[in-house]
Amino acid sequence: MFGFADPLGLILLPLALLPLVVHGQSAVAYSSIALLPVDRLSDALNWILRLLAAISVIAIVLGISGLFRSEESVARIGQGAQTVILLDSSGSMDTPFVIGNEKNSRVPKWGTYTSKGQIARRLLAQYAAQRTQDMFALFLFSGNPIPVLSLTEKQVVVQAAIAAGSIERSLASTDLGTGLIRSLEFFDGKAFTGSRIVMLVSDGAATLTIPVQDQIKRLLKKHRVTLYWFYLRTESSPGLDTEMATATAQQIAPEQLVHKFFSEMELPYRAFPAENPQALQQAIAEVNKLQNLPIRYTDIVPKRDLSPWCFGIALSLLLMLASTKFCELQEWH
Amino acid sequence: MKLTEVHYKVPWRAAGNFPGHHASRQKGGGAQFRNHAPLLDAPDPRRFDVHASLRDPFEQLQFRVYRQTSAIPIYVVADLSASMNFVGANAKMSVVADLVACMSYSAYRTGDRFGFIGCADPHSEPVWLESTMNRAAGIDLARQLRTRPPQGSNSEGLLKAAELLGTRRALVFLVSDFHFDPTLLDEILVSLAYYDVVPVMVWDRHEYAQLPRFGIVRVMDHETGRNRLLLMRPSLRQRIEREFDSRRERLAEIFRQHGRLPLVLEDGFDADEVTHYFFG
Repeated sequence: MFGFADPLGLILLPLALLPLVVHGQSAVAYSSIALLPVDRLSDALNWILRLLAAISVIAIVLGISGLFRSEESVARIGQGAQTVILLDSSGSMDTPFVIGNEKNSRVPKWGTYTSKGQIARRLLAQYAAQRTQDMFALFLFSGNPIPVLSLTEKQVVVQAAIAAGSIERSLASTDLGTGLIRSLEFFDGKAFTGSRIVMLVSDGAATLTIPVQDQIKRLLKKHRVTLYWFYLRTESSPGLDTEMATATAQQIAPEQLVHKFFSEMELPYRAFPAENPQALQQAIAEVNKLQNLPIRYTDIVPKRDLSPWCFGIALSLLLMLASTKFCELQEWH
Repeated sequence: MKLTEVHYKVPWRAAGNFPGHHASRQKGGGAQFRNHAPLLDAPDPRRFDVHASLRDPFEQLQFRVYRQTSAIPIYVVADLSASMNFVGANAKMSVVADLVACMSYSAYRTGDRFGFIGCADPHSEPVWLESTMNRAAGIDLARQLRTRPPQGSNSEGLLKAAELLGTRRALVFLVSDFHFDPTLLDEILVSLAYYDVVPVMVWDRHEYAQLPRFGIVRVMDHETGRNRLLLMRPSLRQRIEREFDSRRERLAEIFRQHGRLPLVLEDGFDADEVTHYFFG
């Protein structure tokens, strides 16, 4: 749809009739036009010139009136997925990896090392940059879930969202359940157009109560979401696969129970335990390979000011008219 | 302008009894023998013819009768429609003015009377100089014609020119560019059939020859007020030339049917060219 920023300018539009009535050329006196042979090309040129002049007047008037194309939604088909990045921003993410840190320091003092969160954000940013046709949403969670970015395929926004918040001072608690539930709500009311992924980047240390588990299961099923868990193991944590009794796990490794719950949901789920940045990178690369299916989505093309185009068209037409003016003969012989 | 005399003759006998330069039907003091007559019919004893009197079986005295030469009226009937406004190598109106001045002078020199009728649309008053022996009349008229651009929107006034030409057969120079409908031309020539009409085509080479090779030009017709855009290019140039060539042939054909071929003045007025038309 088109609109005008300044519709009052349109009252100048009748001026476009002017070139059709007045030729605006200096005429050379001739004895008898009737004697000159009929020439189709000349007659056509006459009307073409008048029409060009009329169009250029219209273009100028439209430019003055500020023609714009209002925002519109366009259906597009891309290769990729709808990905919700669910990023743990609890305090433990500010600690370094177990091994393979770029800058090791004995005392984990902020600024002397690259934290798990920072590495995760960097790698996620790379992942997002590779998949230009994917739609991304970003969700942070620690004590309370923070929706950062709803699903969009605009790279600039995605990159900015991922880069933001890469500082220390995270909160202590980790409420994985609420975060997951809230992030799944991103898909509410959206058409299922391709594969859906929740990329959970977390280092665990969270428990899920039975009602929360039920709700997560229900939502994952409802929205047909594949869950990937990038598990960034904290130092001295037993990891996801160490065998131990449930009671012990509840005490020292609650993430084992969470993993167990996810695995037994009978829904698409995969965990990628990552002890170091390289492992995380491999995990992300694997997801990159797994999720490459066609996706249909509607894109919102923003409002666009068309007046420069109008003026451009008018200018080029006027240049053409000016060049014909140079070909004009002032005398007849 | 230096006035050059134009010599002209007409292939018919003048009827007027005013002595002049042209062969006449009138008896009188000329050099051309007409017939013999008895003294009572031709009472001039100086013309007594001894041989004819001796030859006559009825033994009557025979006297010679001669033909006099008479004057004829000369008229210039000019088209004053706006198309005559065209200025090319020469202004058409200055060619008309030159012709008027020259013919007026030549008529005076030959002993003929000179008149002028300038017509445009049928509703406007014609520019009319009554047939006169005044030798300055044509000069004044020529000055007027040079300074007053013609405004007429058509040439139909020429149809009424015959009404002003008088009862004597005259030598009429019909001056125009003839840029009008050939049927109108035919009607005009029919209306002037009683007179000896010399069509003078005032054309200008710049109208149809030596046109620009390339360019855009908007031409304006002062007669109709219409204008037209032309994209000049060699092919159009050729077509215009061909158009005028065929028009010239067509006009010549119409004039020929009415008794005389046209006198074409394309390069301004030249008195010798006019003389050449009559004696060439």
